[in-house]
Amino acid sequence: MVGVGVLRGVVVPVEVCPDVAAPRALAAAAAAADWLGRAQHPDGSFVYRHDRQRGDLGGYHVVRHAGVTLALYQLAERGDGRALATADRAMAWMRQRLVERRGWAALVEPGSDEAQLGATALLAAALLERRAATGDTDDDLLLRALGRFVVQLQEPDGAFLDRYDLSRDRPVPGGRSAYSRGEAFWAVTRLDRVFPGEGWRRVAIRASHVIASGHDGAEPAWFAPWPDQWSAYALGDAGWRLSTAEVAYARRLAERFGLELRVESQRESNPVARLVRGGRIVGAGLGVEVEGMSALWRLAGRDRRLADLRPAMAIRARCGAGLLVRRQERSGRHLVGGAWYHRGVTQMDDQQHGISALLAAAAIGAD
Amino acid sequence: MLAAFVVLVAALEPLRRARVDHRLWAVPMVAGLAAISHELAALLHVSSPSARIAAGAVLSVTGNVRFVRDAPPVVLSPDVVAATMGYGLMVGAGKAALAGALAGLAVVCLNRRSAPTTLSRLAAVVVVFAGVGLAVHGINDV
Repeated sequence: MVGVGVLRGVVVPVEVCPDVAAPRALAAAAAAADWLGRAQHPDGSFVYRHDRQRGDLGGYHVVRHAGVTLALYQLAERGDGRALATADRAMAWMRQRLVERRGWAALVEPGSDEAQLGATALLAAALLERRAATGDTDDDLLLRALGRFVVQLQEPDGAFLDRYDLSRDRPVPGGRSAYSRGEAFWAVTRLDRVFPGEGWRRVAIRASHVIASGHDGAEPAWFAPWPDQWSAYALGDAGWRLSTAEVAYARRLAERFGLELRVESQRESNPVARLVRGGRIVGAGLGVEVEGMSALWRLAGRDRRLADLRPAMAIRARCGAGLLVRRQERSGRHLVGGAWYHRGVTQMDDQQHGISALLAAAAIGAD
Repeated sequence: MLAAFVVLVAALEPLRRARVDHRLWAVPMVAGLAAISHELAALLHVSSPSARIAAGAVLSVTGNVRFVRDAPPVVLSPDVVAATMGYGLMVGAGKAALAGALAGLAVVCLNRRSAPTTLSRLAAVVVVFAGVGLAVHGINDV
């Protein structure tokens, strides 16, 4: 009996998957956007980290600012006017921090001599989302300029350098990031969809091939494939027929996200399972897993080679969304309700990924 | 199917060695368990990949134990249950049930011979490898 108990409690605990209907998921996303609205400063920036007891912990991160803005525009595309207003204020903050040179534009962290690839790529993604939400094409020139910054950081093998040195006016050699590569890949993939025939596809395909090969030097080999939801988004939006290697990579990504979501649902089962599995993941992490799985679910809907995984993808993504809804704070206090706190602290990207994940999972529920 | 059969024969090895009477109902028992593996996993609120990881862990542990020590001749021993469920989830209930039935029959037939220790240890090694394989298969799944 002891053996059975250990087996049940530790080795194979219940996978807790609260069911969440699309309206409930959308309401949770809106609540998170409201948190961001309350956490927004007059200049358009946000409270970066917030402690439930101690309040604002300070700090800031321009890449996450761009990511939060992107998520808000995704919600605005669903008709959320408050999210659009918050996103536009956040966009204004970024417009003031653009550096433009020789036809390209980049978003730069205040006081920094370096432009990060991820910040500019996510700004482009946010602007594309705004374009879809509002139909406003006034930023099309800026979008192309942001895209050109991304392109100039692409190396001959298709991989991306992570930073541009503004003082030396050249890319910083050698540095590659498992985060910004996917953000750049997604940005150029979406630029190809919005501005077809302008050469973005060539850039996107080169990026896709090197990322799918696992040899772009950005992800640690012992943890491959990196749970890269940005690349999953890009594959889901790819306007070309994916190669066998790209499909195989998508499959490996789905397996990675699937394992992580299963483990997360088991962590919810009991304290011992949680202890053995290392404790609950932060809200942003759970959101990333749901985002990635949902993007691959979309891809599997149009690529038969992944169709066998689609039912399981839907189950895992919806399970993760259910966990997000369950873990979201419901308190009405000024800067608590609507957020995802982990050990008493939330960071603005917890809300970013939570919103994006819930929107994506709601689409699965509505399918 | 072949892998499921080999593993189930290996898991049933203690029965063969002990020449116990209940080997006869091991056949329908194992086949039936394989047939309901998906339902069992659903009843336990566990996905198929997670159940396979767990089955793989059980097989690996019991295989190692059996390598150094004789296992008691019980039909529903942990390794038999784990192998049956794990392969039922991996290759499908029908194939695993068939493999289970064949494995049981093989054990019944083989029981007329004596059981060298080398064979039982080889069976234990098969069980360990099958456990690792099941676990890896469960990890690399959605």
